[in-house]
Amino acid sequence: MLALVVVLVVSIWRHDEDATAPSTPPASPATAPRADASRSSPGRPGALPEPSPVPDPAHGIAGVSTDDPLTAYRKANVYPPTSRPLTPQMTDLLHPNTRHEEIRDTDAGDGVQYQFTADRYFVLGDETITPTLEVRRDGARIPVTILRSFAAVLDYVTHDEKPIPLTYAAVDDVSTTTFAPARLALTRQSTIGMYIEFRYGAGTAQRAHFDFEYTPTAGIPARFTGAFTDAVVDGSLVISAGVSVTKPGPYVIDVNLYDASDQPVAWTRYKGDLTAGVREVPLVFFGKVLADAKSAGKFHLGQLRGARFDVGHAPDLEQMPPFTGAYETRSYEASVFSDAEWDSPDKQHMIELLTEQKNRGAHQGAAGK
Amino acid sequence: MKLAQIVLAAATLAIPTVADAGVFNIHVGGICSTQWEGGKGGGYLGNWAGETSISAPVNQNDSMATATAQLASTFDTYCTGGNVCYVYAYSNGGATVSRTLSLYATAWNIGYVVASASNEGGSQLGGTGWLGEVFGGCYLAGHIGPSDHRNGWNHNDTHGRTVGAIGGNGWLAPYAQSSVLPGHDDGAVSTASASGNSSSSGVDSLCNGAKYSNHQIWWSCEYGSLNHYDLKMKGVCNDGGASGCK
Repeated sequence: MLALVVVLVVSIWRHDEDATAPSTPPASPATAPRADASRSSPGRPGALPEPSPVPDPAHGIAGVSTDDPLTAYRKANVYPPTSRPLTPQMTDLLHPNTRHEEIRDTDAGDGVQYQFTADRYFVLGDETITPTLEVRRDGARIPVTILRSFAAVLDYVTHDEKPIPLTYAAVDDVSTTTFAPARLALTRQSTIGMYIEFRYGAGTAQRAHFDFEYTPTAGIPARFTGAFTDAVVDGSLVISAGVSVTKPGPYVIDVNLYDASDQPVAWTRYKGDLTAGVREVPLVFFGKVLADAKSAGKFHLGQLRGARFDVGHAPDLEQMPPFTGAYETRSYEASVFSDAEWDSPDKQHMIELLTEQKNRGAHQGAAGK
Repeated sequence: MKLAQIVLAAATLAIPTVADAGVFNIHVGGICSTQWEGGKGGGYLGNWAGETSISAPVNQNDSMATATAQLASTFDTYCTGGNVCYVYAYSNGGATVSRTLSLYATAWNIGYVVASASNEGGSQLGGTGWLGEVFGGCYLAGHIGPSDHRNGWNHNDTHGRTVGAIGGNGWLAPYAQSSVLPGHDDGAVSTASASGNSSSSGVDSLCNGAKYSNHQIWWSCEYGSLNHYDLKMKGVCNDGGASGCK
C-alpha cells in the first residue's frame, strides 16, 4: 500500500514539474499551407467512402437546414475551406474596405436621423480618410452646428486616449473634413476613432463615432511586387503572387478571381508563414470550383489584399497595401480543371470523428430537434 | 502531516490537468464577459452525458485581438488529437469564434458551432461608444460595429466547420427595435448579423439573405418573441444540453 502511494506521489510530483514548465504557446498560425488541402488529386483512389455530395449554394441554402453534422460537413467540404465559389451576393468579399454605418435615429427619438461615416475603413501610409456627417428631418437635410470633433488613437490596454481636434466644413448641409493620419507619426498598426458631437434644431445635441484602421508606412509588413505567374497544378489554377516581406511572420492573403466577362468565379486565401525577402505566394483556385462553374478562357484577379497576423497584439492585423494593378492569366480550356472532390488527412479525420458522433446519437445539430 | 499531504496528492490524481481524449463542449460568452456563466442573459454550462463542458476563458472586455488569441489557446487545449469539440457561442462570442477560425491555420477538431444571437456581423449599437465612456459595460462594447466586424476578417473561412445560427425578434429595453438596428433584431444585434449574412442590409428573417460560407440557420427562421438575453441558452437547449429555455 505504501509502495502504491509512493508511486502515486512520484507520479504527481513529475506531473507537477510538467505543469510548472513554460506553457505551450497557442498553436502558431504560421503553419505552411498544406499541399494536399488545396489541390485536387484526381488519381487518389478510394479515399472517400461515398459519392461526392452536392454542395450547398455558395451563398447558403434557403430556409432552415436539416442536415446532420456529418452530411453538412461533407457538403461544405467538397471544396477546400480556403478556396470556394464566389457569387455576386457575397458582398463582403467583393467589396472590402466598405463602411456599413447606416442612417439612424437620434437618441432623442424626435424624427431626426443622421449618418456619420467615411469613404473607407483601411487607411495606409499617406492616404487620407474623409468622414461625412449628414442629418435629416423628414428625409430632408438640415444644417447642424458642430460642437466637438476629434480623432483619437485607441489604446486597448490603458485606454489613455488623447483627442486630436478636427475641423469640419459644411457643403449643402453635409459636414466633412479630410484627415491624414500620417501626421501622427505612428509606428505600427493602429485603430483610430473619429468622434463628433453636433447640435440641431432647437438645441438638441447628439454624439457619433466610428473607428478605422491605420497602417503607417513604417508599419507596413509586406507589399505585393506586381509579379505573377499562373499554371495548372494537379487540376487547380495556381497564381503565384510576388510579395516583398519586411516583417516575417504569419500572413493571411485574400483574393477574388473573375472570368473574361468580369463575372466572379472563385475566392481563395493563403494562410501561412512568410520569411523576410521576396517570396512567391501560391493563390490556389481549386480545380472543382472552376470545373463546376464551367469556367474557361482568361481569368483576372481582383481585391488582392493581405495582412500580417500579429497574434494577441491589438490591433493584430498589420495591413499590406492592396494590389491596385491588374493581372490576367493565360487562356485555359475548361477541361484542364479537375472536378475531383477535395480531400485531405484533416478531412478524413473529421469524417471519422463525425461518424463516431453520429453513431453515438449525440450532437445531431440541425437534424436533432 | 506528510501522510495527509500524500493522501491529498493522491486524491488530486482524479482531476485531469491535461485534456483527456473525449468530447468537449466549449461555451463562449458574449461582449464584456470573461466566461460563459452569469452576465446578462445568465447562462450555465450545458450537460451532455459522458462529455465535458468548458466555460472558455475568453476576455471580451478590451480587444478582439485578446479574445481571439485566448479562444485559440482554449481550442488548442481541448480540440486536438483524439478529442472532438462542439462550440456554443453567444452574441459577440459568435464573432470571436468566427475570427479565430478565420485567422488561425490550425484545423481544430470542431464538430460544429452553434451561434446564438451572434454579433458576427457587428452591431450598430456597438460602434458608437464615446471617448472615455464605458458604453455597454466595457471598452470593447464601443468598438464592435458592422464596419469593424465585416472588414475585420474573412468570415467565409471557418476551416470548413459548420456554423448553425439562431436569432430572435424580441423587444429588449432600452434598445427599442428598429430605432437603430436594421431590419428585424433581438434588441442588440440585427437579424443580418445573427444569421451570418454577407451583407449588413436589414432582413426580416434569419432565413433571408445570402450567407457567409458554411453558415446555416438551424431549427427556426426566427424565434420571434425571444430577445437577446433569452437567446443565450437557447442553442444549448436545442442541442440537448439543457432544458427549460423559453
